[in-house]
Amino acid sequence: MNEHELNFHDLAAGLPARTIEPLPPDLWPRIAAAHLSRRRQRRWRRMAAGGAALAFVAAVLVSASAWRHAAMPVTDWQARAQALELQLDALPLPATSAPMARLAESEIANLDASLQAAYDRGAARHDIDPLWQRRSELLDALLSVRQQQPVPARI
Amino acid sequence: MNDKPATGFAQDIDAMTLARAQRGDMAAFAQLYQRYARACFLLALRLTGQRQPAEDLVHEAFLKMMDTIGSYRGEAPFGAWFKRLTANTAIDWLRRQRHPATNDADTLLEHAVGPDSDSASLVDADSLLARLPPRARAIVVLHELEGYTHAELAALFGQSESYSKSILARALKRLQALATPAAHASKVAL
Repeated sequence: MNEHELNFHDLAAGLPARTIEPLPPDLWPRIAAAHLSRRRQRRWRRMAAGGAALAFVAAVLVSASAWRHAAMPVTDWQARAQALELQLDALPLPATSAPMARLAESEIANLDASLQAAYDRGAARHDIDPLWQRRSELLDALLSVRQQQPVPARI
Repeated sequence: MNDKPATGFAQDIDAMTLARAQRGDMAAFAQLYQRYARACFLLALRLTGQRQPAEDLVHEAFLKMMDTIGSYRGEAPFGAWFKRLTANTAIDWLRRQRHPATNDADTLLEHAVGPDSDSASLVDADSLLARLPPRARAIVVLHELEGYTHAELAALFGQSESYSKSILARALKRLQALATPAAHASKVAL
């Protein structure tokens, strides 16, 4: 219930209704044009935001890949080769050298010469590492062959 | 509420047109404009009291409607939803104006035009309303013509219900003082 006794309908009852002139005919075309312009702007903003999001995702993927690559354990082929050499030295010498072993020993000798030359010319690590890796692989193979060869009996 | 709809917001709109408008169809928006532009303009004109700001409000209200129609879920008739949007747009406009925003009803009504100042020019109900300061006029229009409750008005204006009631009572008294000689003059002129 209204707290006041007056109401606008009673007050305006004695007054005629106002004559309202129609809205200007160009109002709707102006509203429609403004709406379409805003819609275009929003679409551009969405596309720009989408592009930025895509670029961000790409950047994250690239940095994640770089981080993973950096986090991968790096094998120290030189240390591994030296360790294998010690294992090989600990084995007793075979009576005869197997053909495979001879081949490996020959390639190791060549690699040693290449390594020496590389150190002499001050080669970079990325040039030297593959040589140490190959030397490790050959020593690994040689170790396997030696372990399977018969050992001469001492009298 | 009044039995007779005060504005054309009570008009219905078919579901197909609404669905098309919600998909952003400009032809459907044009139909909504044809149906509701006048109602929107009348409400804006009553709330602002001036033609040019009322036209600007129609522009702004339709843009807002086209932007937000996707959120209309049909809980209330579309006209009622759009009327509320228009009223909110007008209230925002009133807030942006540099009118004295006071919580005191007496101070607010001081800015009304006095009853002795050209009362003969009050030829219709809307020019009577135009004699009130903007905020008081908005409260009278929304409560008396659009059926807003004091609780709704309080929420709209960020004030208490008693503020809305006080403004309304004093504004109606002021209008009564203005209307009595005007009604008399109107009858004499006829």
